[in-house]
Amino acid sequence: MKTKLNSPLDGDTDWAEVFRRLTLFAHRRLGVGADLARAEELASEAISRFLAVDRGARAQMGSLNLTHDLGSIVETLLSDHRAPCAVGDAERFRQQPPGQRAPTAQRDSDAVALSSPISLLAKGIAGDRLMEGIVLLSLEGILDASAQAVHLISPITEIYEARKRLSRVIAAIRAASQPKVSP
Amino acid sequence: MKRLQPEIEILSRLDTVLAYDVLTGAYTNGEVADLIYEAGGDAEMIGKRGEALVVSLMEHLRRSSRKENRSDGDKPKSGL
Repeated sequence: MKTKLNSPLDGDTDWAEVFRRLTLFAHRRLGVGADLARAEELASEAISRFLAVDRGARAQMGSLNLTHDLGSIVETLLSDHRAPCAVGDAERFRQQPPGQRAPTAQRDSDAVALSSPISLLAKGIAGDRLMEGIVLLSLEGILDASAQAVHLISPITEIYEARKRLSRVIAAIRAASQPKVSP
Repeated sequence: MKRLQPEIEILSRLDTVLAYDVLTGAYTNGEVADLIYEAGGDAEMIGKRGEALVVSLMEHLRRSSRKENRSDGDKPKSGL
């Protein structure tokens, strides 16, 4: 079975899987309530641009990480004007009042609607050492999962699972923060 | 709402970092398919469309490159 994803482009590339992942990536980057068809368009455009680059030029670019490079093209297409990680974000998160970082089982969207995004995040991850660590490390600019594994002295597989949990917490917060549009 | 903007940006940045995980081995193929279904898509069909797109793009590129090579061959050789 072809499963190559992160390797340079070659004849074994599993394009169906690459395309599925790229579409899902674009869908997540488009944000809450995004249209999957739009995400697929972005994935198609990214692959077209990637393949249009001359093979020789690609070889000169050195070792490539196919899916990551395609993800970067999607980012470019989205023309996201995100500001770089601001100094002090980690500090702001750490300074949440202790009550707001207290463990709570309430992670549903009703609770989400009652507070600010950061305090909701603090509540959502409270008591989960890895999720808390990942948030703080990410805000300090340590984004790579394997680097986070080293800092948190945990196996990479546990970091991946914690990142998935964190992703779900953030998705719930973002969904609840969306202005409700009545039909 | 203005006060919340920086907070929303923090969430957005975290979300971006985590979104890249779907492009890595952090998610299995099965998990990716499940997430696509959750989002209302058909993972199987999306994969097929992606494959078809690449086949057609590759074919187009091959044809263009053949055409280019042929027109290079037609050019008179200089210096002879």
